[in-house]
Amino acid sequence: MELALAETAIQSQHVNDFGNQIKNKSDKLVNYFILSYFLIGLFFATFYDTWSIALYVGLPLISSYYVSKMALPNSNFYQYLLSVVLGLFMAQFIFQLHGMFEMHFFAFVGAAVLITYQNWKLQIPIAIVVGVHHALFAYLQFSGIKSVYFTQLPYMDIFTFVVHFILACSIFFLCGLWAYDFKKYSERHIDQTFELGKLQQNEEQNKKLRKTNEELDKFAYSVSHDLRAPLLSMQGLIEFTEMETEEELTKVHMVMLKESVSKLDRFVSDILDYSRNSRLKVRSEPIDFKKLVQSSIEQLAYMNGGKFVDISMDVECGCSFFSDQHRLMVVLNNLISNAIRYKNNADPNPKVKVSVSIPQPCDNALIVVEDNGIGISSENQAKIFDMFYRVSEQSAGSGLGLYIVKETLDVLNGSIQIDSVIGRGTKFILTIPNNNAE
Amino acid sequence: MMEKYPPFDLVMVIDDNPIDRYLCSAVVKKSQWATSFLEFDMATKALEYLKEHADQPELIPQIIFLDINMPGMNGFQFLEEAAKLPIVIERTCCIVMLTSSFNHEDRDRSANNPIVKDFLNKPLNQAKLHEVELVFKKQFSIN
Repeated sequence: MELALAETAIQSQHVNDFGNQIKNKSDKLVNYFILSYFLIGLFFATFYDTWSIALYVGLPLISSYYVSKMALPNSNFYQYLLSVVLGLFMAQFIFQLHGMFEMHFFAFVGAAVLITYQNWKLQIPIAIVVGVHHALFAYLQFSGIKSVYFTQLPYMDIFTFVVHFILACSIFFLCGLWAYDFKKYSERHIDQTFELGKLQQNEEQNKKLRKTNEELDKFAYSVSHDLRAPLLSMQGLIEFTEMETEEELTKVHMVMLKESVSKLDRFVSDILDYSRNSRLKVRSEPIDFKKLVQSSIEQLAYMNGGKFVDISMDVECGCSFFSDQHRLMVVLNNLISNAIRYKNNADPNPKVKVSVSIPQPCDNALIVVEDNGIGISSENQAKIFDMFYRVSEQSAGSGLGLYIVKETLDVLNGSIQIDSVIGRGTKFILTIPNNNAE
Repeated sequence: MMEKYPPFDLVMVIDDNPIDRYLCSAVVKKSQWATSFLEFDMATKALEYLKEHADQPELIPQIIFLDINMPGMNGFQFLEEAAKLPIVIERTCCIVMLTSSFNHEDRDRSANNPIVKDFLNKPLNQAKLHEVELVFKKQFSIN
């Protein structure tokens, strides 16, 4: 939100800057024009000896423009005054050349000059001045007053006057329209430039982010290898020694060592799973649940206690299913390994059953991981998905397993329900949406 | 097929970690799984050995345990080079990835490589040796 406001502020700053540029450029242009107008007045004075008009009208006009500009530099007032001044100069020239018809073109020159400010409203004052001037002077001249010059025509009928008026109005209207169009065009141009800049910036940020993610992923990969490789060597040696030795006590020690090592190893892999889940993009790939569950079970069969537990699976998938394979694997591994770890030692036949079904219309996969283990009390059920929560000090895990399950399911837009009775077993019911592109 | 004992004549391990090489040879010897055992700490050296003995099938291992993460030439680069060697590899060799990598990309990449017959996570133990034996027999009966 704040960012958006800041961007709007930056953009309006750009618009302002651009407006100032136009203003400065136009002011410079007008300097030349208004000076030329004054000099033209002096030149016209030579024809009918109208020096006093050239000076006493021309000078106040030109100075009123500069005074207003200096007095109110931040207002547009001087531009509107300029519009009036340009209209009055036309009147001055017409008068100086005793109504020479071509002098009327100065109205059009004035209107054209005003386009440069890209403000259609500037056409209004000059149009009014010209209109009033024409009506007034035409009336004065034809009512027979001496020394009033409007036209050299011996007479002017109302039709000519109306045509003259309509043409003049069309010119002002056109000039106004152009000013308006120019302004719109400039604004659009600024918007586009700004949007383009923003896009480029976003693209750069995305690139940086992608690079950081890739680097983190590489880092996680090499950490996983570097941390786990020595642990696995230890585990191998321990297993070998356990098998080799005849000493009863050494055998016991080896079992203890192996437990420590596998605990450490689980911790490392849990943290890696967690960081991968929060960082990596969700993939959508075809899922073969049978293969997935099988490979998860196979992986866990070697874990401590795995061989004493009867792990069965029941997968029935009628339709193709798309999701993130690695994330599903993490979820399954965590749930199945928990089921093995917290088996009920009083029960002669510890069991884990994994069933997968995709009920019509194939929107969701239903995964149930069910065991006959020690169970989870109802007050603990609310807390088991918390980070680092462990039911008891005897819990062998890192306290991350179910937290990772929950986090991963959140990323997959899935959900998890728990149904457990102490001493009877636990049932996790997962719903995972089918991510097929159609 | 007649049960042979020990099941293999020559087994090779390529791994930069000396403990893992030791463990591999210890497990193989303990299980009496192979008559002789060859160790290489670098993939390049193993490749040289294979090239040198390309015309002596009895000196070509039936099983190669190959690590993935190694300094210099890694496991996948070794596979690329090994695939260029003549039929020797196809005929007598069964390459098994033995790695501490739990990375799915590594697993997929190995599964997609026709000369890789199995993918094992460390540490090696007797159960895993048994698995490799089954894979090898299956491979052999198909050929």
